[in-house]
Amino acid sequence: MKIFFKITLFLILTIILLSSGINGHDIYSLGPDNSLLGIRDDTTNLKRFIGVESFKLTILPPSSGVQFYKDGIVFLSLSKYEKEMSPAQISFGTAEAYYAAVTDSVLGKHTIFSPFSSFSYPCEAMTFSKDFNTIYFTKIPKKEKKEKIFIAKVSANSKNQMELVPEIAPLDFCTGNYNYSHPTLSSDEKMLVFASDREGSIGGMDLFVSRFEGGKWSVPENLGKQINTFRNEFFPFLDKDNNLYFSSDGLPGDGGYDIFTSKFNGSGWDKPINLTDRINSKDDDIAFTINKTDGKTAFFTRRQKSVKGDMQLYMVTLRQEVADLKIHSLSYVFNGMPVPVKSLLVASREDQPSEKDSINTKPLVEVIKKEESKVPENAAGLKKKPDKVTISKTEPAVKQAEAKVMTEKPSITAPSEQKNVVIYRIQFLTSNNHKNQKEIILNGKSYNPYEYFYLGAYRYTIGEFTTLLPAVELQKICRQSGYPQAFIVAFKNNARSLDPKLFK
Amino acid sequence: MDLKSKKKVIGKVLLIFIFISPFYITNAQQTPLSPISYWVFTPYIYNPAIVGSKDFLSIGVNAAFQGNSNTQLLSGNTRISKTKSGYFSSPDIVEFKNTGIGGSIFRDINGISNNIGISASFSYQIPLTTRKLSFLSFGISLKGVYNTLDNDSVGPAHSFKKTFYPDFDIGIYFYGTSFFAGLSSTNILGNPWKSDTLEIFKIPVSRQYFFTAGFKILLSKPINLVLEPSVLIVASDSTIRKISDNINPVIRLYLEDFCIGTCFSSGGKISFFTQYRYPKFFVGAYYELAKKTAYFKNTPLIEFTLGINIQPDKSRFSNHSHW
Repeated sequence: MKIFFKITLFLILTIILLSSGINGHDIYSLGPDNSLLGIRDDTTNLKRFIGVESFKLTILPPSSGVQFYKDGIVFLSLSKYEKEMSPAQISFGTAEAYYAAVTDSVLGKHTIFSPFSSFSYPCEAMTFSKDFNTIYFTKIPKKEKKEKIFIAKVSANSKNQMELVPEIAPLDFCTGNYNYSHPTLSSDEKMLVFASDREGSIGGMDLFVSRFEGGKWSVPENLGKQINTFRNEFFPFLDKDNNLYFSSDGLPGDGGYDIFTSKFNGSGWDKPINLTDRINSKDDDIAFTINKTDGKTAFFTRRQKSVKGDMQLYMVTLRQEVADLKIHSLSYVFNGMPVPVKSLLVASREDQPSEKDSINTKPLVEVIKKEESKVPENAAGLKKKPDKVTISKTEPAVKQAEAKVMTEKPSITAPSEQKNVVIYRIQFLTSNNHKNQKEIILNGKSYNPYEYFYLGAYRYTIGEFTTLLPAVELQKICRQSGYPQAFIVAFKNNARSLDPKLFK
Repeated sequence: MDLKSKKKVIGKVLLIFIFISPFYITNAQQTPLSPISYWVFTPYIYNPAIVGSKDFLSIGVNAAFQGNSNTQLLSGNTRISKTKSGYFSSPDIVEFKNTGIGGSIFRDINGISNNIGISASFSYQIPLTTRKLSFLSFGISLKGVYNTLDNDSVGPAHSFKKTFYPDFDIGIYFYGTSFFAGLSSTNILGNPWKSDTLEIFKIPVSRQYFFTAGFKILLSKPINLVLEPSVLIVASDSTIRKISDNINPVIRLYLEDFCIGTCFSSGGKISFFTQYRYPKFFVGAYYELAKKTAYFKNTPLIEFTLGINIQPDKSRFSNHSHW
């Protein structure tokens, strides 16, 4: 009788456990930082959050993948595909970089990436500054056999057309008879992670980091034995939260190269975790990259371990179901909420020079660093579990209005009427065309954008503050909520001011 | 029926047509003719500048059998390429050079004359655009021919006459994405028996001139439907026909891996040809209906071609070879 009772109890418990697994989101639990760390160990559950589908685009060597660029991707293709004529009728052609928008998993029209000079380097092995005006890429210099990292700048040519101008020499640290490849920039553009077999490598290709200090890139540091093994680690990628993704055939995996992620902890990277067989396979899984703008799309390449090395591109998307959860990027799925980094704020000020109206950043950096240290950690919702965040740059305003939000009124209503008044706003968008953006919603609050025209472009801001500190807070919220490029602008008597004193 | 299914059906029908039709033709009365299908299927034979204009190695056989006359042509051409180890994380890269090479072996029995020859061709392509989508090519073909005459058909002066003679062809070719043109001359040295007083049984070799030009008109990109009107003008030093008889307007229609075309001649002949390309081989057939005259009966000509595309696309970009 006791045995029968025990068996019955066991069966009941088993049924309860199994049914809890069947019930979709119930199994999901957030970690202390809203991460999905529990989920990523479970492929079945991971399927509920991300979609992985093959993408119709041929990967052409020497590329092994693609890279996100503006609103699309950049990739290598044969030049004959750019013509209106059927490619089957064109004999020649050469490998060339193209970019195309990606809409609903469909690749748009191919546009030449570098119209005035040929650019045919591995596309996954390059990284862009936030303004897309600086490109770090990998190439094998003439008369050399080892690949090095170069910089190219976008500048206007004599006909005022935008042209890609590569530097003649590689980065300073690319010394010796070693490979330096796959650069990836941190969101503050202060760290460059890359793969190399340089001196100090544990074995094969290792991941290194170089920091931008004193106007130049520092001597690279090995990321350590936690990440690097005696085999190869390469294809590093840093998402907007500086979480690291890379491929390794030395860390435990499903076979060949697997993709791993390592969470950024503010100063370095945690122990890497395999992205599970939802992403990885027995073949080589390489060149993982996430769209830094929306964080909802990623690509990676699966390479057959055959002699020919056929490659298939895969697209990873955030599933619609996650809209019900507090997840709005693939980074969250894989690594949870970002860890606040003060240095990120510091550096991101330096993307402002793209507007050529840049102020002297050094004192500003110091000021903001100082101000930032005063900001309570929960003020920006970093440690606090955030409320539902609904951000959409494309959804119609009507849809946004459906969210239960509280509209924040500007703290100052008529700045223009006051004299010698300094107003700080958070600029989150710059456009050559007028945008009919009625409101944006951050952390459940609605903000009415303020538009001003400056240096030939429409610029959109939110918030109005008479002191810098609350502006810093709002800037931080913007950056965590899908506007990584947001920064503070100052207005004096309702006119944009670049006076460095205003930021002290 | 969706487009894919339709194309499959069309492919099967054309393939059956290509293989079955020769058996009908061989029952017809035949007249000796030299093979001309290489004008369509392997044009680099008459213009060495075309050698290596594709990104793959192609080997083809053209054959014509008509009674006691028959011709076989084995030819191949490729663009020179070099495999580079390239980037650490990337598969090897195929780097194409601007040089093409080709060659052929042929046997041509034409009535009393029997030619066996071998040729080697070279071309150099000069890209005209940064992205190498058009080029100007120069080519030369060196060849040696061994000729024998049937002693039953010739007089005692030429009985058992055996001749080996060298010769060469030259050509120039412009290739664009929607326009092409080429000019070439074959058998530059002409007939080796020039000094012979008895010219009744000359070796049937004379200097020939070829001019071709045409357009490619894209009708539908999704199904790669392309119309190609062109003209082929053939003349020789021994041409006795009217100039207009040498002009051959040609129309081709490409649909994915199929090609069908026709060649008109003011001489009254009309020809049809079909070709199908698999990723690694191709087949084709050429039919010609001759004008019914007092000298020639209404007899059709059939030639067919079979070829292999080795390494269809060295760039690894596509499994399908291009035209």
